[in-house]
Formats: sequence, structure tokens, C-alpha cells
Amino acid sequence: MNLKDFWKERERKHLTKIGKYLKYVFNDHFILFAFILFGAIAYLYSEYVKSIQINEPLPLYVLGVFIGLMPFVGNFSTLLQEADKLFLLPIEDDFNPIASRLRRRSFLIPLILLGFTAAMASPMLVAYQVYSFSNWWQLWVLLILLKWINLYAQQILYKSWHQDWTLLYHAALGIVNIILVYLFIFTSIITSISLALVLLISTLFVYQRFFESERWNWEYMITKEESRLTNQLKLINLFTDIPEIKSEAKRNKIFDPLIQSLPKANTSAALHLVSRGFFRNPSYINLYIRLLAIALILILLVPTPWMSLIIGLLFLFMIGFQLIPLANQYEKVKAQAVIPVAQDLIIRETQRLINWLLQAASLFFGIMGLFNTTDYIAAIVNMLIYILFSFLFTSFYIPRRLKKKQK
Amino acid sequence: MSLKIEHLVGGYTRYPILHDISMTVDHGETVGLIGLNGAGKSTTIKHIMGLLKPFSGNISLNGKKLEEEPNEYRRSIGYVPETPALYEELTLQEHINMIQMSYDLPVERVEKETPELLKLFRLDGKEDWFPSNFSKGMQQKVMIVCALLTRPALFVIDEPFLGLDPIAIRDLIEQLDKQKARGSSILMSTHVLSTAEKICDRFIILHEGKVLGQGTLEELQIQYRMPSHVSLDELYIDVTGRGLL
Repeated sequence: MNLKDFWKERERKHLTKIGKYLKYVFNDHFILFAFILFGAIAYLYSEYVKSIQINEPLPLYVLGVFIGLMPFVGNFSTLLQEADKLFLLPIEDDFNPIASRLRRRSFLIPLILLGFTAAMASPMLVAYQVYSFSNWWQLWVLLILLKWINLYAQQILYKSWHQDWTLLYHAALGIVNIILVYLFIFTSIITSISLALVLLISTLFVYQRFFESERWNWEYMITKEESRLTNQLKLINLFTDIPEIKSEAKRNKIFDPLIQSLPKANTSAALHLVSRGFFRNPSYINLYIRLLAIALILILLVPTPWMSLIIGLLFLFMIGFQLIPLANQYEKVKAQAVIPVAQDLIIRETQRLINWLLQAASLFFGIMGLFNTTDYIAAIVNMLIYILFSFLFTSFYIPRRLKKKQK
Repeated sequence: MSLKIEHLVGGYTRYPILHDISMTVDHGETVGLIGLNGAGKSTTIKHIMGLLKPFSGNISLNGKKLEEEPNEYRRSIGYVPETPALYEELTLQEHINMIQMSYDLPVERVEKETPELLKLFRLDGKEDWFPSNFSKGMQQKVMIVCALLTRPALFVIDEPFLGLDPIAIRDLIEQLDKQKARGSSILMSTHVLSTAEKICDRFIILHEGKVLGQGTLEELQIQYRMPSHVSLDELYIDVTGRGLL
């Protein structure tokens, strides 16, 4: 087996793993929600495009920044592992062709994503008379060039031995991207694309002239790859439970009064355990707060109550779904054998805790809904639907899900 | 084979951790790199391995720098890291195959020596197991077996006795003696000074990224004006104590 096959095997394993998780993410419920959400956003967007005033360019500037940052999505995926810095060091040269292959591979998903970005941005750009619909691919070409520059720059960073340049490198690339996109939108498409091409050739030249023969900075690359994979898993973890993501317990003293206020009778030993499991495990409490915050912002931003309702329900589902593993997190703790707390009691108390948390979220969502509409009746109906959904979710969905898991 | 480090200044980012380090490991010599936690032992080792790039100064193996002959340089070193680094998806046998391929070792020799070494470290029969599920001590043994198979000119071993059982420590020492007799040099960082005293020819005391002293135990005793019955342990505590002041 040579290094090329070794990497192919690793890629295959990685894809299988991600595929497995994605299968869980894209379950029937999620696809349904995603379709509704996507449809709603598309409708909203088309309504917005119709209302665009060409003499008010501010949205175009905002769009420019957004497009300019898109080439950052999808980093150089090396799939390096800690052990590589030991086993592969003596054949470092053989890694060069592998790296080129990996760079090309890292380009695939962004290629599609950037095409999607260009397509999505086009209705706005057409409305602002930047180009006509048939020329939407021109933005795609620009973004592809910017992504190539980005990937080569990253490879330079991997061979530069200047980890402290990372921030500078991101800032510089971000500024260049935005300038070229602005040039594309406001001045001349052809100048922008030509400049990007010149920049790509210069980056290639700099790489080949100064960095190609340099050694790889294994430690830095491995750290970067680890954090890239963790981020990837964290993203997937928003929708399904990923066992590889472990976080250490934190005291989170701020929640102590809340924990103290929970019932203390010996019948609620399970609640004692589960509630601490929620408030002191960053992967649960942070997730709850993060999703709550995102949902609140979205609910405030969307213009119609029914949009708020869809977003609210989607987030209630995501929060609830994410909290289900709370019921299983003590399965392996031996203390459970010492402290006689039955698993079905833990399941019941987890259900109770999730119900409280979702009801609290429902209230927040409902109150936030009142702020962005004058149709108070619709907002109050929304709040009631949230509360009902939370109740149904915890009473019926969670027990079913846990049973399925136990099987 | 000799390792020579001259005026090495280095570290991870802009700020140096190692300040003007100079040391040598001569042919067939065992040198103990000793120092407190955070003294710069592992950083020095990472520089030798080429996992870090010196800010200034030189590191050479038999007069050759890493940049000149990277593959040859690296194949001359057998490295056992402080924390075992193993592939989750590879079996013990596959790890050995990896080492054979990346160090370009003769297949017949590896096939002959592997069973002996595995037996010695009581890993025999576990060839098809995944070392990622082993205990830390057993993982360390896998790393040691891999390093021994490479028959390197220089062994660089970070904390070799950590996590090993007493029999494994004895066997490791025996194996290192054998390799030494073959002409290999050994650089090991360690906290277990009583063992180091028995097996190392010379010592380098690192403290806060600087070399506080180096030489044989006798030389160090003279250098620090200590009586000849003072053990390495006592000498070390005294010297670093002074260094801290």
C-alpha cells in the first residue's frame, strides 16, 4: 500500500463517517422542516427583490460583504491525524502530490456552494442592473478564482512556519475578496475577474518560487485539521448526537440558584442528576443558549408572524432533539449502580427538564414575536402553538425516540 | 552518528522558549535530557525532529542538516513521543507495516524481528488488535517496538519510563543497550533520575529554556562543587533550586 492508497482509504472512511451522521441529520422530520424553511426564505427573498429601489444601494454593499466572505467556506481538508507526524515524517516529500490532490478535493464542495451563492445573489444583482440573468455564471467564475487563491494561500501558510500570520492572512484575504466583489458589482466585471486571475497567478508564483520546497509544518497542519473536523462535527452535532464531541464540565455558577430551586425530595434524585448534567455540561447549556439566541434574532427579523412560527417551531424541534441524549449521558457512569436511580426515572425526569426548557423557550419566542408585529392576536396564537408543540414533543416524540434508541 | 545542536533559539510562535541551546550526542552515547516541567525538553526534541523550525542556530546529524537531506535525516531518527500517537483505524500489525514502509526497512528483517520484539514486550498475539484501545503503557510499548524496528542511528525518546511496568522498563533498557552496542546514540528526556543515572553516560540539565549544565555525573558534581557521593537526584534538585533563585 502506498501513501496515495493510504489517503484514499482515509478519505473513504471519513466520507463514510460523515455520511453516517448526515443520514441521521436528514431524517424525515428535518427534511420536511428544511423544505418549509427554504420555501419560506425563497418566497420572502423574491418578495424582497420586487421591492428593491435601485437608488438605495446599501443592501448591495451588504450583499457584497456577504459574497466576499463566501470563499472562506470550506477549508483545505488534509485529513491529517496526530500519528502522521510520527509515521509519515520520513516520507514527507511523498506528501506533496497528496497535498495537491487534497487541495483539488477541498475545492469540490465550495465549487457547488459558490455556484449556489452566485445563483442566489443573482436576482438581487439583476434587480440592481449589475448584469442580466444569463450572465450569473460570471460571479461564479470570480468566486472560483477567489477560492483558488484562498486554498493556495492556505497551503503557503502550512509551509510558512509563521502561525502568527494566520489572523493577518485571513484579514488580508477577506479585504481582497470584498474589494474584488465590490469592483465586480460597482465598476467592471471584466476588470474584477482579470484582477482575480492576476492575483491567482501571482499567488501560484509566490508559492512555487518561495514555498514549494519548504517543509510542511506538521504540528500546525494537524492542529488546524483537528479544529476543522471538530467544527464540522459540531455543525452536524446541532442536528444529531455525535459521541466524539466531548466537553468538560463547567461549574456555571450563574445557574446555581436555578439548580437549587429544583425540588429536592428523594424522589427527584434523577432530576438532581439530569439538571446538573444540563447546566454544567457546556455542550448542552451552550447549545441551548446559542440556538435560543439565533432563533430570537430570526424571529425578530422576519416580517410575518407565520414565518416566526415556522422558525420558532424549527428551533424548538432542534433544541428538543439536541437535549434527548441527556437521558443517556449517565448510562456509563458507574455511580449509577451505587446510587439506586433507575433509568426509567432518569428518562422521565429528562422529559420533565426538557419540557421546562422548551416551555421557557416558547415563552421567549412568543414574547419576541410580539415585538415585530402589530398583529398581536397572531403573535399570541403563535405562542400558544409553541407551548403546545413543546408539550407534544416532550410527551410523545421523546419517549418514542428513546425507545427506538434502546432497541 | 552524532547529533550537534549549536546556539539553538526556538519555540512555537514568535516568542522563543529555547534560548541559545548548544549540546551534542556523540556516537554510541546515551544522553539524558533532564529538566522540570516546562523546561523545554519536548520543545528541544521537536526541533530535532523538524516538527518546529529554529528561529536561529543549527541542528545537524553527522554534519548534515534536515534541509539538506530531509528523508535521510528523518530516517536516521527513531522517535518515541511522550504521548503515544497511533492511528485509530490501524491494527498493531498495520502500524508495523507503516513503519516498514515509511522508513523503507527491509521486509525480511522486519518480519524476523517483529515477533521477537512483540514477545519481549508481551504484545504477541495482539497483532490484529487496534492499539488505540490499548492501555497507555501498552500503547507506549507499541511506539517503542516501532522505534526499535527502525534501527535508527539516533533514538530520541521523550519520557521513556512513563506508564511502563517495571518489567517493560527493564526490557527497554536491555534493548537500548543492545542498540547502543550496535552503534546507535540515544537522547532521552526523563524525570526518573534514578534510572537515568544508571543508564545515561552524560546529562544535560535544561532549565527555563537554557542549558544549566552538562556532562557526566562526576563532571556535574565538580562543576557544582558537590561531593562525589551525591546522586543525580540530589544534584538535580539542588541545581534547579539554585536556578529558580
